[in-house]
Amino acid sequence: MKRWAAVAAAVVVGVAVALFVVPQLADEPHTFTGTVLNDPDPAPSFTLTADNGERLGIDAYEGQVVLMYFGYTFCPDICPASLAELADAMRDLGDASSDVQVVMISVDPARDTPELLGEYVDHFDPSFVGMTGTEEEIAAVADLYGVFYQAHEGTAATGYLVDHLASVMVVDRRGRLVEIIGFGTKGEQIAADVREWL
Amino acid sequence: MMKRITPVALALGLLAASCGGSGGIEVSDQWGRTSPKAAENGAFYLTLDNGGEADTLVAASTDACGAVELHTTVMTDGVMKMQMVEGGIDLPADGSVSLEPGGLHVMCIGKQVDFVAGEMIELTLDFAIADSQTIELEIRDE
Repeated sequence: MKRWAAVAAAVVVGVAVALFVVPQLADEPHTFTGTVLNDPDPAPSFTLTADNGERLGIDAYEGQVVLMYFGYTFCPDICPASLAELADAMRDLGDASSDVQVVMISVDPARDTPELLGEYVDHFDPSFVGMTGTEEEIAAVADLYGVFYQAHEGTAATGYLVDHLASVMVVDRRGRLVEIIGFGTKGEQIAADVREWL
Repeated sequence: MMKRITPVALALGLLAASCGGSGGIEVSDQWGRTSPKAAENGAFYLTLDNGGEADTLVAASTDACGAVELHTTVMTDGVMKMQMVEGGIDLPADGSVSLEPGGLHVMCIGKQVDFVAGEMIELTLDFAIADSQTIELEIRDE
């Protein structure tokens, strides 16, 4: 009798855990590392020149989560760091990464030709796409996304450098701008946030 | 016993004193990030522990770069502004300064070699007071 009672008790506890504790854990909301935009608007459309020469915009990636980063190839520290974390995020996502597209938009179209950009982003992940355009086109897209950038004089050795917002814009599968992830966010944190939009 | 130990202890004591007081700057955790060929520039990172008097890292040089400058990045509301550190990087007495991604870094202007994982680069660091040091750093993913 005692043995039956012990088994019954264990079953009751097990069922209770399954019914009450596990669902609680599953429902625990994900804490986003980035800033989630409430009542998100559609990500503004645009057309730029992709690294393969095609004229493309955000609409080309409908149905995917798009991670947009504004940077430039002349940048020695920030941009490689950001793209390395994005590459880490893709690795972390594994198979799910096929539903994610990283797009780097150049804030230095004078230096960043489509070909140069393509070679650059390929180093971090072959799936990454670079986009560039005329100075006017880039300025228009940056303005649409609220991305500040500005060239300033460097030294004789460097030539001009470009200050820029180094955050990652997240566009969900419905084409809405849903989140902004700040510089310095590690790949696995980016991946964890992205999973919520997949 | 005591008479034999004392000269040795004295010698050791003198050695310790000279090591501590000669502006001993120790470099550690030096590395550079792998970089696409398409990238004109690269960056080196390292930690400087200054066990001596206040000093300044005034310059760095290497054959691996066309030019080398000391830079820092300042982030304001998410906007990254990079600029050369005028006068060099201050190294407080008995202090530690880290050059890390997103902050202070040695900017390699015009890479002369491929920054592929495993590539070893010699970098010479010049200080205002302490003797120059030539260190070896490895190019790697973070």
